[in-house]
Amino acid sequence: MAVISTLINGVAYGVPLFLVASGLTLIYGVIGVLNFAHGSFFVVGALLATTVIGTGLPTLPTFAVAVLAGAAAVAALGLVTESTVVRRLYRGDHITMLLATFAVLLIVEGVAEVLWGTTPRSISRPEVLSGSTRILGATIPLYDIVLVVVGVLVAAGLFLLINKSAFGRSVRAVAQDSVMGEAVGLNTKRVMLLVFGLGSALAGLAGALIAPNVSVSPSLGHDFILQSFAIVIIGGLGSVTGSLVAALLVGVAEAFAVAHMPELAGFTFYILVAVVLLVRPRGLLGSAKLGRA
Amino acid sequence: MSAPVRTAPRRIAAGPSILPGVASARFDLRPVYEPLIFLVLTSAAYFAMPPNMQYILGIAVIYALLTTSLSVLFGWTGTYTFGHAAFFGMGAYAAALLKDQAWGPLTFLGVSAAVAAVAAVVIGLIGRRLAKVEFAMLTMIVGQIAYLLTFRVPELEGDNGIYGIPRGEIAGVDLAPPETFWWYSVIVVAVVMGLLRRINLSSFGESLSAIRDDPVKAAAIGIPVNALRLAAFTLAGAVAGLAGGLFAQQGSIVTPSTLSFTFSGQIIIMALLGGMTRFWGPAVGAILFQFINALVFGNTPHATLVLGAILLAVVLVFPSGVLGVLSRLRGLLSRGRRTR
Repeated sequence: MAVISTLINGVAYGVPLFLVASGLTLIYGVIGVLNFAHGSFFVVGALLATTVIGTGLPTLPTFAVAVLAGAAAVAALGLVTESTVVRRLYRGDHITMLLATFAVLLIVEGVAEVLWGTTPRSISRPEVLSGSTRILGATIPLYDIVLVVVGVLVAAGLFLLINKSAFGRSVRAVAQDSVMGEAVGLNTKRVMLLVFGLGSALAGLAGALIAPNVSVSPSLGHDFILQSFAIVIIGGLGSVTGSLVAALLVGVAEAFAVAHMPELAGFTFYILVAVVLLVRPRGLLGSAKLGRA
Repeated sequence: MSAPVRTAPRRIAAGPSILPGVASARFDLRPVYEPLIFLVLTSAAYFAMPPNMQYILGIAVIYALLTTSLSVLFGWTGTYTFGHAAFFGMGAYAAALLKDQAWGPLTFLGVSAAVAAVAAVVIGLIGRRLAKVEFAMLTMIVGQIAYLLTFRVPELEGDNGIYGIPRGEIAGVDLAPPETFWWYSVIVVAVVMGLLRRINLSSFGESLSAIRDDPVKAAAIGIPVNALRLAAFTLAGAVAGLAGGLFAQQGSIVTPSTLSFTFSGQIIIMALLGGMTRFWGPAVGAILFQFINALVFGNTPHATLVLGAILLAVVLVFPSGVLGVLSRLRGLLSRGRRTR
């Protein structure tokens, strides 16, 4: 069944995009910052994974450690960025923010070039996950299934965290009105810091997970951040659910383009963005967003 | 209705700007003498420089036009774009693809500008209902599409670029020698800068300022906000395309880097360095940036890092907001050179 294999392939392709885009849109929804540096955070996650794993064939535990290390280190990087750069600019306008985070993107990418060099690196999947399995007559790589499972877990986790936990309640309060939140006793600075860290961790996780599928170099972030922006626009700025829907839509569309219309491969994102912007300027779920526009 | 004139800095002009007794823009001579000063100063510098510096200045004056076209959006209208390199690149590629036509160099520039203008109209129409940040992202994505297309369309030759774009000749004067080309390019840049300055001082330019300062109020007093935004976007695209055509003639080669995302960012950084609240700020920033880049950072392998550090310093040193801050920064950078 070629359709099923294309479908799962597309979903697996969409999951890392969802992880990056959800972090981006979460930070935008709560803090109101469109974080350009997100793309470079993603790359740092991928580069760290290549360092931890090295050239050999990783065992499953090594791979898990590499992925978690990538996420944790990038979370730390996010916390540092928030407390040194982003926090100073909360009262600035959008453009100041964009430019400051663009500067952080260039700096992180520059440092990554110094640390890792510009030569592309690649790593192997762990041996147990390198095979494939058959579902409904279609051959599916095991790694794709892992990606889908991670995507489901993260989406469910984010949903529970934002909608059911005490922390999530303060996050939603800050997203709606940070001044009011502060007035009723919330530590809004801490909430914003943690949200920035969480969003960054998702970027690092995505980077580490995608490392076995691509060749990793410091400039990988450019293309990926643009695709993530495309997803955030399609889903609606600030809507995590929107970015999930958009990432799956784009992933599946891209997989079908690769399978059936190769001349469109790589462009489905942009076509979908143009269509969505013409029909719904605020994105698919742009009105059902977490907080402010 | 007499056209309002900005004779004072914008902060003051936000007050009553239509004053009795103020000369109308029609008789304002700044669009004439300012480009002349620009031409004289840059040419004096050009002929006092060693050839390697002349080469940098030759590129810098083209970038001066490019950053000013960006400022039509960022500085004049308050529209943010992160894909401005796309228009520059489209202009350059238009000149490259038509290189075998037996046209004069000025015709090529016109074609470059027209191609970019048409693209700008289309993008502007697609994005006409978008809020600021979404529009900025749309421009970025469009830029990336243009960049990817150079690798996808065989005629555009991918990373190799297109070689052999002729400089041509005007009225029998061959533009191939560097000095002749300098006069050609600096005169083209100065004339277009003069036209932009005239537009900047016109009632159209004043309406754009109103849109930048408060689009809702501007709409309330009858300014057709969306139409003027589209016009500004088209103007900026056309001028960037013209600069791209000039760049193609200058270097005789066009590569995908002319429309890359990184270059779009660099255009913004150059314009910011000069400051976008003054008309000549971005032009000064472009020239300054090119020389800083060549003299100080020309030999470092860590160009990305340095670029980021410069930008972060510019944005963070004055936390009160970029637009208000950069006129002060530009004042420091260009004190004693030009005041407006």
